[in-house]
Amino acid sequence: MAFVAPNVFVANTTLTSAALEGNFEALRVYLHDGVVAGDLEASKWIQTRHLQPPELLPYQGVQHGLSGYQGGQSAGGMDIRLCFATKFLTGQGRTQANTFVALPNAAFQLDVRRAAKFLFHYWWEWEAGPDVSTAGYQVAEAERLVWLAPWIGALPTAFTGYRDRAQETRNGDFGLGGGYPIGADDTFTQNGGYDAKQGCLMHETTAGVVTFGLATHSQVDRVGVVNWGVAVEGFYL
Amino acid sequence: MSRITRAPVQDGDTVTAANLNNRFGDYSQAGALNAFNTRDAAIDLPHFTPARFMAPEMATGTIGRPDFKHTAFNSDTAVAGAQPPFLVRDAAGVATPLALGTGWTLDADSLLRVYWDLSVRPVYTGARPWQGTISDWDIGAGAVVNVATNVTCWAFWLQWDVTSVALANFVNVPGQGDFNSADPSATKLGNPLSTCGATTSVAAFNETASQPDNGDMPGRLEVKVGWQGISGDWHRQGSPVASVVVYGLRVVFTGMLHSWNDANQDWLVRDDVLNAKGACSLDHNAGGLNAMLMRVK
Repeated sequence: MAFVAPNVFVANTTLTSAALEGNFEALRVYLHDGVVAGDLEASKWIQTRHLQPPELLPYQGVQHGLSGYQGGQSAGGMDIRLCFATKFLTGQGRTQANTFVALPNAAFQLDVRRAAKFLFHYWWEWEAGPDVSTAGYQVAEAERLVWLAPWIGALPTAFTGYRDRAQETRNGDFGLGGGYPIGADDTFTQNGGYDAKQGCLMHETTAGVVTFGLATHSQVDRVGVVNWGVAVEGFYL
Repeated sequence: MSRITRAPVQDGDTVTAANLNNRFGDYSQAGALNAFNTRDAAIDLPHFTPARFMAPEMATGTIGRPDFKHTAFNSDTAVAGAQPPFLVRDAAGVATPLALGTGWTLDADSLLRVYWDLSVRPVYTGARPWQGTISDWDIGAGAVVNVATNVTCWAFWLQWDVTSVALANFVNVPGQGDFNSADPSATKLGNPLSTCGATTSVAAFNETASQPDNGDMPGRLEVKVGWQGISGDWHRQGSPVASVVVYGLRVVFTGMLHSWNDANQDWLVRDDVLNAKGACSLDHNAGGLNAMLMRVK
């Protein structure tokens, strides 16, 4: 909408500071009062250069701009941020254990400036077991699993809120070689213990600090997370 | 509105009404604020009203039968012939679609994004029930075992309801078939590759050659696939001709299937020799189904 000056000046009449300032003030309001959404959608004249450029947050690995957040983190390659899941932190393979622990490094915090919709993408590939231990309280060897669950806000939500969104992989089969070099009898792609998975969680939040992360619950003694990634798409608009 | 180029006030200028009015009138011309006179980086988040236009709609839900330890689960057994798909269901046996309220309008300016995941376990009974089916292959002259190619699988895909909020009319999403079409030779039922656009497959078994010895692979390993998480995603831009209102989404599946080439077309077809044995089932628990509607222009 076009600017309309509230005061029109007439020749040979007294010029008052109030009239002059009234026009200046109206102009300030017009120029600084925000662009009306209807103008944007109707005429679509905003170009990229008109927008405040996004800010890169290197620690979180994301960029933050007027439309929201984009970006994430990854393992960075085979030997940079390799991490592990293990049953030794989550109940020793007991069927009744429900503990989820954080997957190291795979969480980041964002300062969300207004209500937003988030897509939380996560993926990983890992090699599980083979766990051939025989303690009687454990899940049967062929049914031992390792889960990876997303969590948002606080780590306990991995179990309380998102355990049914977790994705799992089974224990590798065929046991361990007894002689040197000791290891799995077969490759993980052969023994069933290798998998690459991905998931996505959608989350709506209000303004505030929000943490996104990954957690694991394992019934397998050792699980190598050889690659992983976490990323968000956040939309204010 | 053109660029404002009026000369600034100088010392000694006469103050006239016309001069003042013209200076304010510069901002009053047709066109108002526009791309030409809006400065770079002028628009930031506070300028926008809270109304959503980039991502106006989002929905998320749990599908299936939640029990992440798999102490209880649903199971379906593959049978031969054309079949309606199996549904992902809750503990009561009721399908678990993702309802989209009063419906989302998918038009040329918008994009539907769908992401899902599910926990499944392919199982079979008997000794290598796939023996004798198309999925067996010979490993070479001199070898004494056959090893399955592992192309036998279960297939999952998306359906949507674009009829009403009652969610009583689910159909396959565009680009996806139900694996009940006849192949060019009319010998098998399945989908050509062109109608597998929303398909996710999971291997029904894991069998490999083993014991490599001087170029020979005389051994065979057979590993049950076990519980695992599978996932899929699907994106659809609205039609420029006619928009569609989407009321709900759901994940369905069928099996057993194997790859097939007929008349130079790649297909995924029903392995009815194997299905007729009634030996192959799919156990399934829970997962998530998420959808977002985004404006793309």
